[in-house]
Amino acid sequence: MTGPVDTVVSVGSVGARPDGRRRIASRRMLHPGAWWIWATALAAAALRTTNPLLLGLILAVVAHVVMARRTDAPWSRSFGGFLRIGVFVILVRVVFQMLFGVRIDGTTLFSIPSVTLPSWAAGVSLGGPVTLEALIGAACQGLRLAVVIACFGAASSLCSPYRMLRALPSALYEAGVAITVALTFAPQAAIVSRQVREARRLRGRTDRGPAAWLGSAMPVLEGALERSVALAASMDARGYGRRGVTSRRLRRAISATLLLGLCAIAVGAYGLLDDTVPAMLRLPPLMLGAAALTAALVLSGRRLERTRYRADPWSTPEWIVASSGVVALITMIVAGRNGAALEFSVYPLAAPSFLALPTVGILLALLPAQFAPRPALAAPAEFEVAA
Amino acid sequence: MASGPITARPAREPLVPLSAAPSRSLRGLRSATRPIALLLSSIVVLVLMAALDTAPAGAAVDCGVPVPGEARVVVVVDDGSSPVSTQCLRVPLGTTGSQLLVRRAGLLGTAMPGHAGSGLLCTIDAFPSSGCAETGAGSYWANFSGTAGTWIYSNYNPFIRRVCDGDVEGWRYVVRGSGGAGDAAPRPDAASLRPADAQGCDRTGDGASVGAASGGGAPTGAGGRGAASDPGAMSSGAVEAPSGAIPGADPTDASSIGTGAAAGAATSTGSGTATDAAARASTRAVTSQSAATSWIGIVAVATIIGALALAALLRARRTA
Repeated sequence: MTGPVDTVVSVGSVGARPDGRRRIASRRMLHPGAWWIWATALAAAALRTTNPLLLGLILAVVAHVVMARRTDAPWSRSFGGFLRIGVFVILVRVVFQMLFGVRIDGTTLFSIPSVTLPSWAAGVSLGGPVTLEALIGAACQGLRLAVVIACFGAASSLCSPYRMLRALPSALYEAGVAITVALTFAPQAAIVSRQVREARRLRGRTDRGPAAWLGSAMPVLEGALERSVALAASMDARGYGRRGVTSRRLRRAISATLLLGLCAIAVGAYGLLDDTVPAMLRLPPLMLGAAALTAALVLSGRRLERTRYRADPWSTPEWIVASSGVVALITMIVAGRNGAALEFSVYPLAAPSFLALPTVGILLALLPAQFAPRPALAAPAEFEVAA
Repeated sequence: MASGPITARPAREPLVPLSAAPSRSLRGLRSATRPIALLLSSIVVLVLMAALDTAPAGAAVDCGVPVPGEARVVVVVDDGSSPVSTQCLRVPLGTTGSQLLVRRAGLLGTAMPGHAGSGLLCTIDAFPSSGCAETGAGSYWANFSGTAGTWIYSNYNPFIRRVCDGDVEGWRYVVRGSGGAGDAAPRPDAASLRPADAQGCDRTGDGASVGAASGGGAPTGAGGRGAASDPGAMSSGAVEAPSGAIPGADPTDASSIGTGAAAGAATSTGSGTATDAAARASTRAVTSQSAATSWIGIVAVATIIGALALAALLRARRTA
């Protein structure tokens, strides 16, 4: 289990060595937080639009950066899998549109049998004519979700989940097992799926096509979960998430503050998403939650006796990567505020509008392909050379 | 209910020379005086017309006489703040509610209605400017039928529902509504809008087939038969330039020109919202100008996407 992990972690953490600094600085692992900020900002930008030009651009930018800066660790191969999930999502959305979607006027391609519903359900349709407009609209909505999935796939294939675990704020160590499983499940699935495919090939079965998919889905899911839990257990046994010497009262206070903060943030986030809730339930709970979480962080962080071994630095490349994603999101928000047609109108069908500001913003998210340091190679030989 | 703002007087001849005014004025002061004088006088005429037009407010919209095979439909668009737009359209029998909106936009020269990928109607006349962003907050364009004399909240899909002669179609932008029959209806009185000689749904024979045939091509033709039968609508093609290009015009004037030039769109009781209409008119001019650059942009973005994807694919092949 720890084979690829050990090599990558050890090679990636040479940044602190005093000698050969330039050589090392040009080849190191980027802070995982930077990749996650970049990817999350791009996903948030994608959620604000259905314009296929912008969505396609985000997808192309993300794919390009992944191909330019991924390592050769097992989880780095997972991006293709996320793209396949995206294609599946688009197909499901289009089929649902054909069967239950609102009937949209326009160029009828074909018709499927329809059911006439009573007048109180006149807004619902089952079957009926399928138009080009409806299919394109559904495909664009599916594409939006596929791009969001690809963004998270990019983050999880660009950075090591183990380094992400290390970078977590210490207050979250309280929920050590759950967080370990949550963060490492997707990369573990990538590793297990490769092993299962190899095993199938060795047994002389095909590893392509739907039959192989169905045959390997269960072992992959089961194996990935098992490995994540085993990892969490071994980390727990080695003291991950342990507190220092604290009084029981303080421990309870920290847990209560943490719980309160998380609940308040959940309420506030819901308020932000659903505009029909009163304004009192939007910003105030968010701020209360943030304050409570910070308090919990400070309290528990002080009590945790912990040292960092070869900490990940956060320097210029990290700032460039994180801010390039955030700039893309900001241009999207600003364009939306200024009345740009972020929503692709399917009726009457016209070419998607070209929006200069978000286009430039998304292209800026290409910067990591050039400015993020090349990842350290996992091969031990390279480590020796670098040292 | 305030039923003031309904009028349907098209503005006619004075508008056409306006489009030439800005370019001529560059040749010097002397040659510039004529277009400016023309411009000022036409503004005065338009303001007078607008002032006269508000007098018969609330009267039935003039739809002309019924013609077999055609439906006369009164379309009311009320965004809740601007003056209500009331327009009578002549369309083939079997036209759907959504095609009506497209025809109306073509006739008035306003932005086409915007539909989200799910088919949800997000914008009429580019309102709201945030597009589909506010739908999550319960704000939306509600569809009403005023054919019965009162506004009845419509549960029907406007993409499917076909109109009949004498129908009254209402669209009201509801802010934070419940999404049901209790939401605010269009402000004008529905009873006064219906043509007295409405023929209803006399769809013997060709009604449905006409609708199916016009399904594909009709929406893109701006105006179509509706424009041809209404002489005032003929000037709608020449609308874009003058409305955006009147230097220093009072917003109220600009709005009356903008909407007046747009072939009989209703204007205006509230002068407070006139700037909004002027802004919309200028947006319209800008969008029509940038159509060509838009295509260049689309091609450029598509090329970039292709190049990036190709590069990523090649890299993936090499490392695999």
